[in-house]
This record gives sequence, C-alpha cells and structure tokens, in this order.
Amino acid sequence: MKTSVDEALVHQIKDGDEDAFELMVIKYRPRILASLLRYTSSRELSEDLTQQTFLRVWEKIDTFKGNSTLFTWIYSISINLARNYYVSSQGKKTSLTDSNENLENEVIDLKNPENQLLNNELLLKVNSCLKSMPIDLRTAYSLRVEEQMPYEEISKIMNVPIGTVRSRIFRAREILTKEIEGIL
Amino acid sequence: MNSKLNQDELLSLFLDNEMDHNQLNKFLEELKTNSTLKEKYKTYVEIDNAVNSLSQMNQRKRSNIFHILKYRAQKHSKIVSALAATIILSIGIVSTNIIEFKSNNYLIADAVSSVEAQTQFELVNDELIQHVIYLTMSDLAMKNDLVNPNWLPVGFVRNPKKLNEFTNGDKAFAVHIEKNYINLDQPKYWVNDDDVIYLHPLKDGRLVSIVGNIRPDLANKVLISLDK
Repeated sequence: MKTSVDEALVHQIKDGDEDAFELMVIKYRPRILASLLRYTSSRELSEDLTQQTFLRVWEKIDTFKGNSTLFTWIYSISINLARNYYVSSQGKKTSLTDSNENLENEVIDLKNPENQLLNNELLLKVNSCLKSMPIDLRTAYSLRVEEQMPYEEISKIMNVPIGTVRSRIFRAREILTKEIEGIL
Repeated sequence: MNSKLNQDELLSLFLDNEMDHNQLNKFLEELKTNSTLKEKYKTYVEIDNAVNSLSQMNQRKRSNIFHILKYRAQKHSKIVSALAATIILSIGIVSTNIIEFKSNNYLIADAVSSVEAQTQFELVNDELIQHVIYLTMSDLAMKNDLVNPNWLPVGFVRNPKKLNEFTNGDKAFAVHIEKNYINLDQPKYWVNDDDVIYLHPLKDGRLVSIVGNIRPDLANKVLISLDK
C-alpha cells in the first residue's frame, strides 16, 4: 500500500527530525516563495516571509491534523504572515511596491507572467526542452506533474503498463535535468 | 519491480508518491544522509515547479485573452478589433477565411483555397498561437520590444502613445521585435480580410511581428528594413 510522502515527513517532523524538516522545506519552499512573490511583489519581503513561514511550521507542526494537504496548511500560514505584515506596515506608511525603481521593475515583472517567461532562464530552458521532448515522455510527465495523476491512471490513459509510465516520467526528468545543468 | 531501480529512479517515484510504506521509509533515510541524492531531489523539485509555473502561465494567458481582446476591441482601433476577431476565430480553428501561409522568403503568397487553408491551420502549433495572442496584449509586449525608437517607415508617423504603432492615415500597423523564443524558423502569416499578422525570424535571432492592415509589399519593405 502506498504511503504519502507528506504523511511520513510530518510524522518524523513531529518527532523532532530536523532532516525530515529539511526535506519538507526543499519540497515546498519554492512554491511558497512563488506564492508570496505574487502576493507581496517584493522578493526581499517574500524571502523573509518564507523563512518565517517555515519557522512557524516547525513550531506548530503538532497542530497539523491532516484536515487539509500539507501544502495548503503551510500556504495558509504564509498568507497570514503576509497579511499581518501589511496590517502592521500600514501604520508606518511604508509601501513596498513603490519604494525604489528596482523594486518597481520587479513588480512589473511579477505581474506579467509573460515577462517572467522571457526573463527566467530556467523557465525558458524547461519550456524549450519540453517542446522538443518525445511526445510519450512529455505526456506521461505532464499528466503526473501538471495534472497530479497517479501512475495507475496515467497507465490507463496512455494504455501502457505502469512500469512504462514510471520509466517515461523518469526519463523526462532526466532529460530536463540535463537541459538545465549549470542554471541551478 | 522497484527493487532493481537506481537511486534516481527511486527519487522520481518518491516525488510522485508512488512508493509503499517500507520503501518510502527506507528511501527517506537514504535521502537524509546522501548529499548527492539530496541535490538531485532539489533539482527535480525545481523542475517540477518550473513545469507547473509554465502550465499556470499558459492557463492564465488563455483565460485572460478573451477579456483582453474584448477590452481592447472596445477601447482601441479598427486594427485591434479586426485582430481580436481573427484571434478568437483562430483559437477555435473553425474559420476558412483565416489563412496561414508558409513562405521561404519575404514574398507573401496569394490566398490558397479554403480546404488547404483549413488543413494548414490545423498544423499551427500551440506555441505560435500563444505568441500571436501575446501580440494582442501590446501594452505588455511593448515592455520587451526591441524596435529601434528612431526607426520610422517612410510615409508613416509613429503613434505617440504606442511607440511601436505606425499610421499614414489610411493604413496602420504595429511592429513588435523580440528574441525568437518560439524558435520560429520560417516566416508565417495570417490574413483576415484586410488585416495581416506577419511573423518573420531575423538572421540575428530576433523575431519580427507585424500586425495591421498593410499591404504585403509594404510588409516586405518593413521586414527588409528591419533585417538590415
């Protein structure tokens, strides 16, 4: 029987396992940071809030009951921290979105997904690589990563054994990994 | 089945929640202590997130486009209005009066038959459609525009509010230049009545896009001028 990675991580983190916590941070930090960037339009603030979020997660993990997904729970913590920040910063009459020109440029970029695409080397490489990838690999990988489908469902859709699905998804990841070498 | 998999293959299974309980716990312990494997884990996570970001961008672009086109059609010129109709029809791939051509040089071919046009149109790739949609969002496109601000086609004046738009009173068109990120290797264009969307890759790796109600010979001159 399959076990959720998040369940296993949460269980270990609740036991005080810092290594498990690190694996969880690696998994969710990019998504939380990206969400906060959209919310705050400031990279510096988003980095700071992301750090605070995971500190809070470590402190409050015992209160996570599994009523939502782990990501949703972490996300709600991050958004609450961001809201609290803005409530407290309103009194100081600070505006993070117009404090300087660089930040303003960043805001423009963040509000414009197309600019992000054009300016982000990683996205460009990944996008280009996906387009040239064999269709069988791309389809299996997309169904898994974009649609969050389990292998069994993908195998039915593509009419191939589960082992083939596993192999195709792995090969897609390897091709993408090779493509982005040196960027990360 | 999984016992013969290498560490990276197991990592892929791990990311996809496809391990059983024992396998997962064993792998977690390995992942905690194996720094090489941990680095690979970070890479896989970044890639998965990048793919999701791209997917979300495309979804946003598609969901926003009808709103944007409607807004611009109400707000702006005949060109935009005509273009909006073109794009909306082209997304549906239903129109026989929207024609895509391929050409190996600047010359724009005469219209092909509607049957052929329909076939050709189905060959238009998704990325190209997205680029044309992007062009309609000219307020955004302007921010990445590589058009030389001193460049001015003979007989035309520049729209002071939109620096990549030109008009001579009768004809009007917009030029957009950017990196050829869609890797278009041949010129392509669409025609809808008097309006044209013309895409042409330059030798230096940039992509020129022209939209407006300009004649093919004028489009040729514009492209030749820009490709110098």
